[in-house]
Amino acid sequence: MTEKTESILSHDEILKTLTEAKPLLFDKGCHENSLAALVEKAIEITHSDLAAYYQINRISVRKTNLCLIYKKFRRPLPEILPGEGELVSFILDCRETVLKLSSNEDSDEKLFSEILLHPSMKSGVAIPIISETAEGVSYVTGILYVNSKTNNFYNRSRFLLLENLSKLAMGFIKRCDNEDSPKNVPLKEGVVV
Amino acid sequence: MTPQIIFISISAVAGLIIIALITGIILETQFRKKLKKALDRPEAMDAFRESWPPSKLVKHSLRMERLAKIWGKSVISDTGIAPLWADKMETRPTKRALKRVLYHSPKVFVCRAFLTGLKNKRLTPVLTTWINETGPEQALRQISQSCRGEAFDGTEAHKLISPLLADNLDPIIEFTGASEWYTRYFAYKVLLHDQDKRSKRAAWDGFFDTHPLIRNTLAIEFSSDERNKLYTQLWELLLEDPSFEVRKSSKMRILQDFADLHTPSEKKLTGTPALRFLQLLEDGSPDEINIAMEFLSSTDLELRFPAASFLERNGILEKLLLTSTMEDRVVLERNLSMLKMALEVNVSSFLKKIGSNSTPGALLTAAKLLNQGGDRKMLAPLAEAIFSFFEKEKPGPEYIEIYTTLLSGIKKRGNDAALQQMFNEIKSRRNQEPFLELLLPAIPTRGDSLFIPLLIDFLKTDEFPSRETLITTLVKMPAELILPNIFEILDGNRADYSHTIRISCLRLLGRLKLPYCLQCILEYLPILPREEALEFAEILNEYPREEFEKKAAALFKTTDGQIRAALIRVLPPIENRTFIKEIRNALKDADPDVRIAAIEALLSFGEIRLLNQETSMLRDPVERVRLATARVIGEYGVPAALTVLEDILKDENETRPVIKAAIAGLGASATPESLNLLIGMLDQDLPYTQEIIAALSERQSKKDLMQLIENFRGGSPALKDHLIEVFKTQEKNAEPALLKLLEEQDDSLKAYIAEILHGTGYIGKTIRKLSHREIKIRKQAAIWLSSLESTASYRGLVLAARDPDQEIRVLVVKALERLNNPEGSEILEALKNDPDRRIRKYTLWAMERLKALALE
Repeated sequence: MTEKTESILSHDEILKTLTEAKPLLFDKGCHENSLAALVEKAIEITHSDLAAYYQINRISVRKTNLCLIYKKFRRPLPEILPGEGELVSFILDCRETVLKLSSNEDSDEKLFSEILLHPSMKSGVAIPIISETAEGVSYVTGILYVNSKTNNFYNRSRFLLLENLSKLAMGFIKRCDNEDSPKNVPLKEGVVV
Repeated sequence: MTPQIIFISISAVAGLIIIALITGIILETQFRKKLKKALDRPEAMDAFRESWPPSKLVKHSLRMERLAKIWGKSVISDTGIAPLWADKMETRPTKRALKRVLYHSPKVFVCRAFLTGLKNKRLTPVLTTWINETGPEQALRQISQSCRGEAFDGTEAHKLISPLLADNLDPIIEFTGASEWYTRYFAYKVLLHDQDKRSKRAAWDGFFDTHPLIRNTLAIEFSSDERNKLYTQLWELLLEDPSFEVRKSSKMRILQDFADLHTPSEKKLTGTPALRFLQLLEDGSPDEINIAMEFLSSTDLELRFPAASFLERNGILEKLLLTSTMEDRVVLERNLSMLKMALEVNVSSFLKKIGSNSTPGALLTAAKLLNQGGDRKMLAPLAEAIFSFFEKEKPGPEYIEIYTTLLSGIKKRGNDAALQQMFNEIKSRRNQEPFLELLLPAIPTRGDSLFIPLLIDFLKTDEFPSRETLITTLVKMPAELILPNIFEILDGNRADYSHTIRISCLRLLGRLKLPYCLQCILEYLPILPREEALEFAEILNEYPREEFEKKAAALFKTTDGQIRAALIRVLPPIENRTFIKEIRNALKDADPDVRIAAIEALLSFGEIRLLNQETSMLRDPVERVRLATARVIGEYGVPAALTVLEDILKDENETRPVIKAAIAGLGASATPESLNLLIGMLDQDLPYTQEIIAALSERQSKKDLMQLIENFRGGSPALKDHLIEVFKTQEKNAEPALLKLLEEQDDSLKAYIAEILHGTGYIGKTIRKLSHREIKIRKQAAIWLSSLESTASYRGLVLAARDPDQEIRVLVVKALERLNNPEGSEILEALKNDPDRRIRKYTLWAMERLKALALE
């Protein structure tokens, strides 16, 4: 699987990789373990250099911030990210995965530079994790960040793998949220690779 | 006082007493004689009763009592005093009164005496004495036989009788087998309270007695340790007993004493038992309301009726009506269908709850119901509520259904009050065309006397907006009520009524189809303008042809040019070629209007041979003749005719109006040659550009649009600008055709159509739809924009990536992925430099995404 992510994976191969990830996510048993598995799996299937899950906390009607729940990176990452940035507001707005393939300093291309969580990172992906209230209203519960030190690292296969992995995770989180409010999830220490 | 005086006085008194005694004896003797005679000879009794009616005799009760002891009870029964004694006993119960009835009255009054003795404790000993003296069995038999089902306290009776029979009620049990119901009734009343097994068994049998009063008494009073058995018995009475009184008592008893065992919802009821159950549903019981709701949709109307009545009584139907909302059509339709069920069995009082504060949903439901049935009287208050709703709220178009449904109901079933409401509404809406278009067609013919004066008033009002609908409404009314008004206007002074009013009147007269008015119609034809004359021809076609031709021939010979011109105009549409010779001659008529009408008519008849003659008319000294000729030739559209028009356009000496007419004529033509001719002129930037654009904008057929787009594709920038103007002028008419072309054609024209639609503003309008509150509309807009694949369309589409609906977002992403090609890159590059930062942001997001998807 590791080698295959280097080149384009076929549809069946993507499916197989995700099928392997599914039990890991679902068998973890509780919300925070599952998020940890999501981060671990994101690193594993894409061979990225950094992955972290930030949960969105709504402080007030207009103010939100992002709180680090789990990371896989040897160096420290900010525990709180501001919720007013271009990236977060974009994700809250359209709920779509955002990519940043290179860290050019070109004016408009600086856009979404918050995806890169560490100065050493060159490319990255931010994937919204969506959950649903008991009334069936969907909302963005957190963002999965995946970064690489290489420019243009996220190709078709990695992008599709991450998108599908997040969909699997969403299914689980939705189920977990019904039993356990995400606001009660305690901050967990990051695992250093 | 002297002794003599005292003696005289005493003697006088004694004398008087003696006289009185003698008189009394005489009178008593006479009375006895008379009574005896009456008792012996029944025919003499009437005479006796005249002088001694019972009301008089009752004042001599003691005397009668004495005589009864001598002559027997017939003294009491025959004289008619017995009922008065019984009444007196009941109103003023005394021992003497009771004794009189018990000992001297006929047996039929015994029961009344028994009941009096039972009620008044101090009289009970008299009663028991009499029973014992008579013999208990004999006495009780007399009582039971004289009883007629009077209500009495069974417990007290049992307490009195039981000791008299030494606690052995066998004689009473025996009475339960009597042939007369009242004897059995008396027996059951007593036995119900006896605890002996035989009495209980006898009482159980009473549930099957033939008389309803007995079954009813048992249902109310019988008690038993066998609760389940008694409940089952009462349930059976409730479902099976044919007497409503018995069923009602059973139901009350069940509710009172057996509520814990009563679970009707678990029982499947059908047929007559179900009907009986439904007739006695318990008000306010949720379970029984549910049962009634089930039966409301029954196909058996006999069962539906009591269910609907019960639901109405309990306010459920009212609730269904008032809780219907326009926002939830599913609930509204469901409630409506249930209420219709009630209406089918004539349960409709719930409709009275509709008032001015009812919701639109309730108003619509009520209107739909009253359209179908229910009390017609309710249409008036409903109309008041709905009209007031539309007056106050200024509701949106989604509420129009309420209005139209009400109007349809009034038209179909409205009473005088409802029609009056409608009349007032029409009056107040006299200047509001949208309402008038709904109101006028809803006027029923039966409302003629009420509405005609108002409609005529409208007809005489110059500014009245819905003239066509008004005419259609008036046509349906009795002609005798309208004709005098029509002729008053047509024959009246021109200054009194405007041309518009006179035209309306003539059209109305024509549509009334009265053969005896044909001459008048033809003479008034000049009132109609050209276009209306062509339409009016269709009406004339429905009149007797022979009569029409006879009258027309006569009119052709008159000097009036206006009438002849008007007659000529109506001939081609009805394809009447009888007067072709007269029309040809009319080309040289002194009156220009006749000449114009003749040209138009001849070309309409296909008289091609006359083309040369007509083209010569392009040089007619009167400009409007030249104008009409040019237009007619253009419309006719054969190549030879077009060449003539082309020559006119090229003629530098031709007057501007004639050239304009020729352009209009080319616009009216349907040939591709004429279109090319106009486009060619447009490209030359002649001084008639606006006229040509106007003419081209009339060409909206699919074929013409294709031709316009083809010319757009290869056209100069100036021509493109002009053609965009053409499409803009065509506005909404061209857009559907362009969109259809977009779907049908290959991609070769797509970019051009996109450019045109961008130019006409259609793309901008569609982009605005992306922020519409309805998902369906946003989605449709996104689909359309993505299919267009132009920079302008994608400029809006990228913003739809933030749509709250996931389906739309997916659509956008897919559309953007389609841009993953060289042509798409151009669009993206253009959008990347868009002045709007949001568009730049979404474009960059999309570009990164596409870039990743392209990476291997």
